[in-house]
Parts: sequence; C-alpha cells; structure tokens
Amino acid sequence: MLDREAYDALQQVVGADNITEEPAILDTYAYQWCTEVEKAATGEEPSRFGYRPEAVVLPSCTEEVQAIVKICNNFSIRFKAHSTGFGVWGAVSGPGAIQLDLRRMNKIIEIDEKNMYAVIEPYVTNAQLHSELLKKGLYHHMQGAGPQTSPFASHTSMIGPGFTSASTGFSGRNVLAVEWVLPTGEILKLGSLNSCAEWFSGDGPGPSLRGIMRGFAGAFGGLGVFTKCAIKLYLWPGPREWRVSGIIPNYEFEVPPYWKIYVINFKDWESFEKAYYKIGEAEVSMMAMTSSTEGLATMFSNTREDTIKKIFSDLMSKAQRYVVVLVAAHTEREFKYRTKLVSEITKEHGGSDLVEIGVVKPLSTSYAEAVRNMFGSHAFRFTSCFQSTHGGMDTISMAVNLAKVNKDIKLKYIKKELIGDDRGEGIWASFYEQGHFAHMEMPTIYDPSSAESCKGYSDYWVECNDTDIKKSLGIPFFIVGDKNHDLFGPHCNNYQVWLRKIKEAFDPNDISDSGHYISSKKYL
Amino acid sequence: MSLDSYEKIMGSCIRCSNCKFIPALQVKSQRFSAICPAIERYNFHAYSGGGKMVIGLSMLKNRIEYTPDLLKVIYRCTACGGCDISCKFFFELEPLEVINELRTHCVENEKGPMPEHKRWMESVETNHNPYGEPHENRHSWFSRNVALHDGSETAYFVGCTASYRRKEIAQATAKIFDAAGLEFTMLAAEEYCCGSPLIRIGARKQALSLMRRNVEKLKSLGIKRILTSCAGCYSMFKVEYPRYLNTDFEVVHTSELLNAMLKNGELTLSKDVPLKVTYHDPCHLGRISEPYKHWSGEIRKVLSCIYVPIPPKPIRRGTNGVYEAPRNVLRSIPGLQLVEMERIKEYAYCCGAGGGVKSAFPDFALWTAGNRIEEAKATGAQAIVSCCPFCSTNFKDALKQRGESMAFYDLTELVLKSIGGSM
Amino acid sequence: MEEKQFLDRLVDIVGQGNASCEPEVLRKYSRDLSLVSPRAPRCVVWPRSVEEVKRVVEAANEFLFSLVPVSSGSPHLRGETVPKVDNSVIVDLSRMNRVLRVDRKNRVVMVEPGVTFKQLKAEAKKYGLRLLTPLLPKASKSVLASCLDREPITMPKYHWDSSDPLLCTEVVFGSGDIFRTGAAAGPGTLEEQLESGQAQKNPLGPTQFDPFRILQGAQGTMGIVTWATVKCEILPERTKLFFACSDELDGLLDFTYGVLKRRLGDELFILNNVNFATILRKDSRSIETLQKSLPEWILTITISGHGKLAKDELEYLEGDITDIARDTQVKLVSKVQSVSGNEALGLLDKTCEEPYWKLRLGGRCQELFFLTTLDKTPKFYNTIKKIALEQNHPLEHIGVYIQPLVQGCCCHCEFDIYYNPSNGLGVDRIRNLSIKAGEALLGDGAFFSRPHSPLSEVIYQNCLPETVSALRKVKSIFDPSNVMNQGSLCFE
Repeated sequence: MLDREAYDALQQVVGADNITEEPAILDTYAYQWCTEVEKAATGEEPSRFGYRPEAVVLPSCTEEVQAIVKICNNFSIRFKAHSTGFGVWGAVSGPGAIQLDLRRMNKIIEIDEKNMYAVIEPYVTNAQLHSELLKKGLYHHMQGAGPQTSPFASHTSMIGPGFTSASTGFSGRNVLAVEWVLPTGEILKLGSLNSCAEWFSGDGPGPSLRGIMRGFAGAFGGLGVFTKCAIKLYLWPGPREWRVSGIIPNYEFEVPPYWKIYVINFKDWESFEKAYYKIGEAEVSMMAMTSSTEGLATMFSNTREDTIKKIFSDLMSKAQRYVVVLVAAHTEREFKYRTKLVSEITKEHGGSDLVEIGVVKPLSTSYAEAVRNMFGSHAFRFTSCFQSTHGGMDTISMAVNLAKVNKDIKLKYIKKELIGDDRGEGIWASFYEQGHFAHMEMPTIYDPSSAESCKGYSDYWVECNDTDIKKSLGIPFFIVGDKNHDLFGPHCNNYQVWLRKIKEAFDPNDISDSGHYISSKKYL
Repeated sequence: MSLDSYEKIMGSCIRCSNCKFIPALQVKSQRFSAICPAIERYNFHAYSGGGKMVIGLSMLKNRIEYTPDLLKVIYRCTACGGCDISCKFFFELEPLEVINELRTHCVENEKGPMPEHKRWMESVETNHNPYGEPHENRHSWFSRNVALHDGSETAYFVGCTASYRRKEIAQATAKIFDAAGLEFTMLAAEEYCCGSPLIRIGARKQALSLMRRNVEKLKSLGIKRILTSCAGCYSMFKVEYPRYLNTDFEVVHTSELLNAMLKNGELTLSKDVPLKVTYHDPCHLGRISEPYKHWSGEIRKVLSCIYVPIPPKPIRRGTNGVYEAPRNVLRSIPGLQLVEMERIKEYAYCCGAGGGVKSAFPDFALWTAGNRIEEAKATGAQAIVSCCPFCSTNFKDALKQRGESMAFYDLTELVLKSIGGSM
Repeated sequence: MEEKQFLDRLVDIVGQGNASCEPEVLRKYSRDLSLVSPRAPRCVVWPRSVEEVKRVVEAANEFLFSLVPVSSGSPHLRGETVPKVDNSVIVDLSRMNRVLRVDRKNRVVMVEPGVTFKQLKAEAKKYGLRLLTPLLPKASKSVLASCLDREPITMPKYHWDSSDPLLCTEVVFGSGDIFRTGAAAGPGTLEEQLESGQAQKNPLGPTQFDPFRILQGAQGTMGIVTWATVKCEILPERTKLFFACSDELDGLLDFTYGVLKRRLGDELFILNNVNFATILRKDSRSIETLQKSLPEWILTITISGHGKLAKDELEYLEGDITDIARDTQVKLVSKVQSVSGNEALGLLDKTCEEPYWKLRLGGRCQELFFLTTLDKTPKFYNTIKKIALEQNHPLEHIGVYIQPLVQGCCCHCEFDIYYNPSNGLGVDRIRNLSIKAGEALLGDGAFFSRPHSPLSEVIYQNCLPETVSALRKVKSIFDPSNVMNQGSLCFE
C-alpha cells in the first residue's frame, strides 16, 4: 500500500475521482497480454496477471503529470505510464509502483494541413485521428497494433511497423517535436517546440535529443512520460468522407477510385525477393507486405470460421510467396502508370496476381482495413492470441533470409504441438519508405490457457533470439529489460553500457519503471 | 451457467481496448467514436467490457473481494452490449455474457445489487412493477375507445414503463392497432413485469421465477403472439425467455408490426409530420435482441492448438437486430426527414438508462443521454425518435435537465400523428 | 612538457608524414571564411584508420586537449572547424577517403569521412545510383560531414526523416570508445551482417536509443565518425526541369505545397534572383546582370522517369504537376531569361565548379539559416529586408534559398549575406548585421536548429534551460572529459 501522505498528495493533484487503490480496478492494470509468456520464460505459472500497481492515477494534463512525477521522486515511488495500454509492456514491472493511465489526455491539439503534421496527446486512437485527418485530406502512419491503439504510444515509445509502412514508414521516423516529462519531473521540449513553441521539428539546436528518446524499439515508458507530440502526416488518396455501410461482420466500404489490391504470387523466395525490391524502387505502393498463406486466409476473411475454411481449401497450393500490394493513386494518370508498372514487374519476375485469377477475393472492407491497419488484429482470431518473434529491420534480403532460417526452428515446436501449425511459414514482413528498409517478424499462435503452450512459445522465442545473435539477423523487437540487454549487448558493441548511462543521467532516482527499458544499476 | 464457465473466455481477453470504441471501420470522428458510456465517464480500464472480463477472472481466482467500489464498477454499466459487438468484430469472446454473469454472481453471493435496486426488486415482488406503483393502476392508461378481442392469440404486452411512466406510448400503440383493425387482447391485471429489470441487475433467480409465472399465464390465456412497444420486454421475450424456458412465442415489436402493416396496406400514413428527426436504436431492440441459438457439436483441435467448433457456433453479433423496420416506418411518414447519427444500428451509443443505471446512478444515466443528445444535435435534427419507453424516459429527463429545445418522440407517437389520430 | 609529450604521441599514432605543427599549416586551420575569430591549433593530424582515430582520442583524454574534426576541404564558411580553445588539435579526416561499398540493390553507399561529393557522385553513377545532396555542394565537401550537419537536401520527396540521408555510422566517442550505430551495431561483424543480407541500412537503435541522432548536429562535439552509410536513390533514365517565377514569394507557395503533398518532384526549391544568378554565373558582373533581368523568385522542380517505363512516368508526372500549377496560378517554364532547364540540370548533376557559388558575389558569405515552415518564409524575408535596410546592406547582396524538408513538414530558410571583406569595416558590419538579423529572426520564431557563429550563444540563451541541461548530460556521457571540439554549441 502506498504511503498515505503520498496517496493524499497524488489525490490532491488529480482529484478523488481520478485515483484509486481498489484492488479490482488495480487488477485490470495488472492483467496484460503476453504477461503469460514473460512468466513462462522465468519458470513461473503463466498467468496474465502481473504485478498489481499500488494505485492507478488518471492525469489530465502535462502539469498534472509533472506534479505526479515529482511526488514519485519525493516518495521514491516508481511509476509507469501507458496510453491504451495494450500488452505487458504498458504495465508496471515490479511491486511498489503506480500506474499512470493517460486516458484523459486525449486531445487532438492541432492539425496543420499545409505543413502536414498533427499534434496529439497520448490517448488519441488511430481510428479517431484517421477519421479527423480524412476530413482534411490527410492520413498518418498507424502501427499494426490496430486502430483502437495510440499512435502517440507507438511514435514516441514502442516499435512501429504498420501495414502502410511502404508509404508512411516507421513510427520512430515520423516523430517531430515532443513534450516530455523526464523522470526527474523536468519538462523537456524537443526541437522547435523548445525554441519557438512550434511543432515542426524535433531536432536540435545542435544534437538531437530524439537520440535518447526511443531508438528502434522505444523506451517502453522507462524514461519518463511523453505528454504531447507532433507526427508527420501524408496526403490521403481518397475522398474526405469515410463511407462504410452494412451490418457487422459484413460491412461494405466505398472503395475510392484509383485503388487496387494485388496479391502477386511467386514460385520461390528468389523471384519474390527480386520482385519485392523492384516494387519498392517503383515507388507505387501504399502498402506492400507479405505473410504466410494462413495470413492470407485471415486477411481477407471476416470471421474465424471463414478463415479456417480458407486454410483448409486449396489456397495452400496456390499461394507460395506473395506480396500484397495496395496501389492508391491521386489521379487517373498516376493510377494508370502505377498499375502498368506493377503488371510489368509481375510479368518480369514470373509472378501471377491471385486477385486477377480469382484465387483471392479481397472484400471492399479489405481496402478499409488495410489503411486502418486492422489486418494485424485478424491474427488474433485463431486462439484470441498471438505474438511475434524476431522483428529485426534492415533490408529485404535480411527479411527473406530470416524467414528461411526460422522455418526449421519453428517446425520443431510445431511438431511438439506447442504452437500453432503454420508449416513454419508464419511470417509478416513489410517494407518501409518504398523499399529502403524491411523488417520480418514471425507471428506465432499459441494457447494462452495452456501452460505448456505458453512455455513452448517462450522457449521458441528464446531460441529465435539466440538465432538472431548467432546468424546476425538484427536485433528483434522485444530486446528490452536488463536481462535481454545483457544478453544482446555484448554482441552489439556493448550498447547496454551507453543505455545505462542515459538512464543514470536522466533518471538518477530510478523512478521511471525500467522493467522494459534498462536499469542503471550496472556499469562496465 | 456460472462465472467459472466463462473462465476461458475471460482469460482470452487481450486487453486490446476495442471494447471502448465502436467497430473501427465505423469510426467517422473522434467525438462520436466511443461505444462504452461507462469508461467514457469513469476512465479506469475496469469500467470497460474487457475490464469487467478481467474482474470476473480476478474474482474467480479469489484475487479480489466485493467492495463498495467494486460494486460501482459492476453496476455503473448499462449492460448495453456495445463492448460485446465491438469485441466480436475480431474475436469470439462474450463480454456481455460475462458482465451479466458477474452481476448474477454478485447477487447470488448477496453482495449486490445496489440498494436502489433492492428497493424496486421488492416492488416487483409485491406490486409486479419496479416503480412502486399500485398494481391495480397498471391498466389505467387504457382508453375504452380501443377495441379488445378476448380470446385473441395476439396480446399487446404493454410493459411497466409504458403502463406507468410513458403512458403516451401505450395509448398511441393501442390506438394505432385499433385504427389498423388489428385484433388483439391485453393481459390487464394479469400483466406482471416481464422480468427485464431483475435479470439485468443479476437477480436471475427472482427473474426466472417471475418469467415462469408469466409463461404459465400467457399459455393459460392461449397467447401465441406477443406484441410489445418496449425494447426491454421485446428482448426478454425474444431472447431470455427462450433461452431459459424454451418458449416459442412469436415476438413482434411495434416497429416490426407497423413496418409490415405499411407494406401490406393495412395502415396508411396520410398526414404530414413536418419534422427532421434522427433515430436512436435501443440496445434491446437492436444489437442484443438476437435470440440464442443453442449449439451442440464437438470441439476439434486443428493446426496444433486451435480449437474449432464443429459445426460452427452461432455468434450473436447484433447482425439480426431490428434496425430497418423503424427506419422504414419513419421514411413512410409524409413530411418527415430522417437523418442518421454517426453511431447507429448495432454500434449505436446507449441512451444511458439500462442495466439498473437509471435508478442507482441517475447522474450517470443523464450524462450518457446528454452525450447522445449532442450527437443527435450534430445531425441538425429537431427531434430524437426511438422505440423504447425506457430510452424515452431517460432522454426526456435529460432534455429537460439541459433545457434543450430538441424534442423526443416515440415512433408510435409520430405514426399516430400521421394517421390523423390524437392523444 | 605535457604538450610535447602529447604531440609526440600523436606523431607516434599517425606517423610522421601525417602530423604537422608547421606554422603555415596551422595558420591554414586557424581561420576560415566565417566571422569566427582565428585561433591556431597546436597540431594537425591526418589519421587513416579508426584505430588511429581511437588512439588520438584516447591521447586527447589523457592530456586533455581539444580535438576538432575536419573532413571537407576548403572553403569553410561556418566556423565549426576553427578551434575555440587554445589547446586544440585538428583531426583532418581527408585521408580516410575510401568509398567502402556501393550497393545498388539496397540503394546505399558506405563512405569514410574524406569522401567528397565529387568523388562519390561519380562512383555512385557507375552503379546507377544518385546521391541526395545539398544544393550545389563544393567539390571538396565531405559527404559524411554534410550528413552529420543535417544539411538540407534538395529532394524533399526523399527526405523521410530529418536525419536523412544518414543511416548507420562507426564513431569513436569522445570517451575513446568505438561504437557502431543503427543496424551496424550488431549482432555480428559487418561481414557477418552482409552475409545475412544486411546492408547497414536501418539507422535506428540499437534497441532503445538512437546514438546517430546525437552525432548529427553535434559539430564534432560528441565523437569522430569514421564511416557512415548513406541512403541513395536510383539514377533516372530521363529528367526534366521546370522553373516557375513570381515577383512575390507567396505566389509560389501553394504550388510548392501541392507538389510536396503529392511527392511528385525530385529537386524542389526556391531561390531569389540573387542566389539563382550566383549559381548560374561565376563572376560578379554576370551575376548582377542576370539577377537584374530575373523575376524576384524562381522555383526549380525536376521530375524524372526510371527504368523501362521512364517515358510513361515522366508523362504522368508532367501532367500532374501541370495540373497543380494551373490550380495554383503558376506557370511552369523550361527557361528563365537566358537560363535553360538543361543548363540548370547540368549544374545540379555535378558538384559546384570553382569558385564555390557562395563566394562569387563579393568573395565572402555569411549564412543565416534556420528551420521554419514554408508558409512563414515570406514573413522572415520581410524581417531580413528590414534589417538589411536598417544596416545599409544592399538587397542585391542577400541571397535567399528556401528548401522544403521532411516531405514538406518543415523548411530550411537561408539568407546568404554576400560581402567583400576588404571593403573597410566589412567584417564588423557583417557581424553586426548577422547578429541583429539573427536576433530579429529568433524573435519572429525562426528555429536555428544548426547553431553556427556568431549566433550560437544567443540561440542557446533562447533555449529552455532543461534543453541545455539535457544536452550537457548527453555530452557528459559520450565525451566525459570534454575533449571534442571544446567551446562549441552550449558546451563549455
């Protein structure tokens, strides 16, 4: 239980309605997806209940966040903030900490149409922002976690691949200025925000403090609380009204003119790789990604039943190595050119468009789901659960290599019936910024209600991490926390030494929950 | 049915937060993107559908006990099913079932419901209505100008709210039936509460006792078809009665009946009703009015760890709720212009009254209605129309409290105007 | 005594022929063409490997000397390579000038700091690649230094993040530690990474921080970068260049925004007639003549076609930008006065011929550049006009360069103050003008993200104290003994 003086001080800041110690409420913050895997990894009983926070606090503005952080420093209470809080990385990682739920900080502060950036608070969701941006002919990069999650969280704090990455890139590269409450309670304003109270740049003067902010993975709440940020926007290639009709689960989306989905299939990895590079260079894609055949089945289905049916159909024999490309153009000229180029590339590399030959039938809502980054949620259909191993980002070649290397590893665990059987082929890769970068992750189905399956997934994940080290396949997604950093660091220029120094310098009292970041305890 | 029968479902929640918002494909603005009034108002994750699933699991695992604050979390919720629909866009979980089961668990363990609920539970027991009104006044709204047909197999089940609080709905309904030449009867003094208020707050035992009594009575009167102008009663007879008592009454809501009558020419709407209106879908007429389909089959394990029901289990997603009938009726009224809010049909925002909220947390009920009124105003409509006396009560209270010029009408009131009838 | 020991150590590290304390040599490095007061270094060293750089940095830590990294050849205009303290050593990286790798498939090159734009453009071209460059860089400009300085590139369409085109780096931090940033950090050696299909492309990380961003804009105060990977694009088959002119800057902005949003053009920038003329002509007289004949503002846009469908691509691009031009009341032309599009294209294709264009009008140039948004540039132009008037500096000697960045999110706005240093009190007057203009621009909301003399101090005074404190904390991590370019930026 929190020190009464501390609790009262926190209550003074946010008001009695916005703080609680009620165990039932606290448990809804202790419970998180993937906690069961983290627990299985340490030999504990896999349960989704992690540590219970001592209290949950709902601040409404930066000043309240700052006041809370200062109180935490005064009373040596660790804190962890989250936005929508999806996954174990949002929760407190040890006893005695409080949870900051940023739900009340949900304003879209500004949309600068001309200069194409939006300034948002933590709890604006992707769908909310998308719907408001559309009205101004804009859209933003959405992370694959889905439309109900926070772009703010992804851009400032957590990884950030998305289905439209071909044209919108990666969250960490879309951040402009940021307002940040440091673990000490100081407010840091990055870039132009600091100098002239504007949001268009997050760098300087001089070196960029974005350098200590997130990296590839994001600090996962381990270095204070971000309270506002500006993110880059993109020109929406469609009408300014989002038209969806019908009844659940079979909605109908009014597909804008000059949009077309391809599913270009290749017979092997070699031709896939060459073609994927070419599609990138062509600069024609709003979306260009690949998955397994099972992924294809779930992507273009509205229900679990339909997905399973497709998996057991002849889809397996007709789809080997494919790219799902969404071409979305602003003018007829642009559309004609882009579609012509896609056809040329398809022909040149011996591909065939599974949509054209009727093997795959995208629904109208497939277009909508593509741009609202909803496909990732389809992966949950099978067991209401999945998670991905690997995730390193560099080139398309590395992504392909990763897929090849991982297959036999995955099959081992499939054979033991510990994880879902996707023939070892369960992958998801997207390229970024028209093919400049690519990442590859291995979505894996497991049964969260089975201790064996959770442990199996966890063991598989550990082996994947080891493989990434042994075969130099990049640093995967979830290399966060002391243990993982101490594992990977020595193979990666001992980066953990520098990261610890950053933690030490900016969080000298070790107040910002470092469970999914790094602690400053050890120095080399 | 018990809390532990939902353990796997509760434990499958991934805390994705879809339950807080309307299905993502339908989001057209930030302002009208929420589906759950509870979390919108109280903000802690516990208040969401997913939050309550976790609470259910937590309770099952003996991690928590009932406290006054926990009761608030459980009962500051209209059990509108919005979370359920949004969750089922991607998953096959049952948040609303869990919410209902949690309430039942609470009541069966004598920890709930709220004190205000206990008061009207007693009234249901003694007066056969939750309003504390004398039972003998139940039929007092009835005008002798309307012909009743004793022995008819069709009964107009008025419901407590229309009988005691929204008499204009009962009166308009009866007059319309009469004008259309419909032969029907009523239970009059034999009509007791349908049991909806009891079952929604978790008093399942008491509700079942009442429901059994009602079934016996209806059967003894030879009733085969139940007409109702109340979404709550409709949902009870359509969904809960067959679920628990295996009944097979034909259950028709006034909106469905009027729609059919207009199609068949049994009713003509001739008078202009020059009004711009927007239609509010009552939860119990819409998304949570799909009957349960009992399933039997096997669960097969495929692809190592995926469990598939063979044959497929029917999923209640609100697909087959009553959405078009009231709209068709409104579109048939000359001079009336129907404009839609952003949140409609299976993803309509709740009026705020249901699930025991109106009595136990009246401020919250009015707050929720206020949000919906703002949404209605944003359409430019002059009035909200709906088909539920309980929605009606809450909207009228909220409009009055807020000093709004916007009006509220039940569908039947507008139809009555258009057939040249009057109250 | 200590100094001698240090200098001897340096000679030992880099070899006799790669270190000099000759007065003539020191004089060359003691000044540049900026307003920074001259100060001679103690020594100049030319290391040739990362191991030598590391040992030099370690020595500097031991003896507490300041190291000033220099990569580009002269002329230098900004003062960051002039020592700020007496105990300074110039680390001239020009002899580390290998193009380590050109990777067509992954559109990336790996270069050492001494690789110049002239050198690299030619090399990249052989592989069918083109560089993302600043506007007409001098031939001796170091590609790596340009990237580290976050110099604006002329193709905003390819400027996805402010850090582009810089990707991964190898750096010797001020602590003496060697580190590789981004995907280059590992796991694995560079060779192992290449074997697994990588190309040191992902600049982010490793894991939860971005050290490469700390190096950018640091003006050598954090460490010495010994190689970098740099993003490239495909060399087009066909390119077309258009101009659009206006007497008011406002008249070109809607077109620019329209094209930026659609990501249609490659090169896209706006010059005033002064800068346009200085780029196109080489001597003062021709510059002035051309300048007088030109409309006040000239926008340049190129479009290009690639591969087999180069013609189709070019046609659609031309069609779409013409539509945007029509909708924004702008006329696209392929010639401005005597300057043809092909002539301009030819210049953009190369590095700047001698003399460097910023030295053509008067012999010296004091740059004032900052970030803002495109729509605010007219306001800032009015500010500089006002100050120039007050300070009696002719407008014909103020060049303007407006470069949209980060796909349109912000804009580099540059005022080039041309002057002749031998005209009486020229230098002092220019210093005064620069400071006054800088302060006025700051007051109007200009964001000086790349502080250079003479404005560094006032820029940091304008910062919130938390920012300065944070930067100093970062400095103390990567350069704990403060040996890197002491006295620069906000570091003591």
